[in-house]
Amino acid sequence: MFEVAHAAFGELVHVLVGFGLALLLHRLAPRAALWIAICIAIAATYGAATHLDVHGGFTAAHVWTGIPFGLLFGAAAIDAIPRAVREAAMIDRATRWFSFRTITLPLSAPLLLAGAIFLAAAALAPATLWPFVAAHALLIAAVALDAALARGRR
Amino acid sequence: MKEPRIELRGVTKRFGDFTALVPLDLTVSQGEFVALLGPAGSGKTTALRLFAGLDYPTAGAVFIDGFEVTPMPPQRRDVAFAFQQPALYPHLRVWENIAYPMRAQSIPRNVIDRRVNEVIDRLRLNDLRDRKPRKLSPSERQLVSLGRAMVRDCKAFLFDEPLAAFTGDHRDHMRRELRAVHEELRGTTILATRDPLDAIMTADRIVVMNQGRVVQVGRPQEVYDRPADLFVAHYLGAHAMNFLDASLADGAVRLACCGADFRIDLTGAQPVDPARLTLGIRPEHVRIDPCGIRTVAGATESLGEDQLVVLRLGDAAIRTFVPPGQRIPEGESVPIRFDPLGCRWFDATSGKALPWQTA
Repeated sequence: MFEVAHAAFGELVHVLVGFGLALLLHRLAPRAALWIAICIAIAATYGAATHLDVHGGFTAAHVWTGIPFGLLFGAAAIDAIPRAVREAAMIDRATRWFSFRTITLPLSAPLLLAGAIFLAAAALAPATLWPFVAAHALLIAAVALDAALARGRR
Repeated sequence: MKEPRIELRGVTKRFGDFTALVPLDLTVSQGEFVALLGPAGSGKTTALRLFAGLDYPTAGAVFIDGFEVTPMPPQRRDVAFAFQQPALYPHLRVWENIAYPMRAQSIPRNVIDRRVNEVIDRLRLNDLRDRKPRKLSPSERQLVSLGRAMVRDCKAFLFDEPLAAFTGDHRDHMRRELRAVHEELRGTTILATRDPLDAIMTADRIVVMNQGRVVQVGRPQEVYDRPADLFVAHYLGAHAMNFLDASLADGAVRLACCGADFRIDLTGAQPVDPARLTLGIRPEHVRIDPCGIRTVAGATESLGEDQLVVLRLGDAAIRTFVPPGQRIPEGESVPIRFDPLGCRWFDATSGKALPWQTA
């Protein structure tokens, strides 16, 4: 039980730190943010797979990939908010903090939570590196595909 | 003359190679209702977005109340904008959407409640106040979007095709509502629309746009009666204007389709090519008259109460109204007369209207 709570809390922290980085990234490069996040997640997963040992290195691999994945989920969540909704908030004279509180956060929360649950589940699964890496790779592919499709929709 | 509230001065907007607006000057006075009228791609939405600060001009300047606001973001301009695709906050209920602009200004809760209830009553959204946007029909979404603009006390209301989702009677009602709300709030309103009737019924002044250019500015009746060129003549009016080829020789204008001569004085205006003129005449100014030019009746279109009949004259087709109940069989000979007050002459080469008077 303690293990589950520990994993869930740890991953929530990863996701929140990643979300903060995603916000920053989105401020700096709104169009490229999601793609940069995808690249960072790929690099982190590749790094975990090649440089960390199967035994003992597993915990390190976790921290190593957790924050980049928080960033990935955060960037995907922010990117999913329609541009028109952001513009409407600007027109409605919402300050940055107010629009973060009332729009960005509530609209990203479901995806952030899903991300934390995914990462916690991965942490509790039998500690072998390759399924872990495969699951991460699959997830990156899903987010990248969604982002590529979303470009056509917008 | 009232004070100018919002102005574009020499504003150009380019997106890559595409020029959305050529240098555009436009002044909207305080308390005025101006309609930007034009087909899709004429630059109406671009102009509104420049007013609002959602886009920045490539060149030129935007002024609000005499102060330059060109580099300012929308938050600092204090204008309301109702988007063509109503961008409602998907996670907020109808009343929360409408209250949003007031909540963003930290207005006391009881003041917000009172004002939001007024707006909800006014738009008859009472039954929907607790719904989320995805449970609303397109026209209901547009109402909420209008409500979110109306709730504010701002410098200008910018509406981008707010009536697109309304049809028939409901649209008529909404046109009157827009006008009524404008007068109640004593606001300054700019409406972008593709529908001439929207513009004619609501606005004090119509700005007709085409391909990023202002083609004509004037009071609705003025624009309808005296279109500045063939485009405006064609675009305004519920039923298409008739256009007939003509040519100018020895001070008389001759219609190509029947050889009829008109003695008119073009008051010194010189057409580019005197052999290429166009007579524009609306269906209501084509009269059935026993002494008139003989034409052959074609198909009759029923418009409910009225009917439009197509008359063939040489290779030209002329539309005119037929009184309700009267039937004109196809092939029958119909004599017509052009009401001189309804004749509009255009230079077919440049498309511009030619001023004229009876000689």
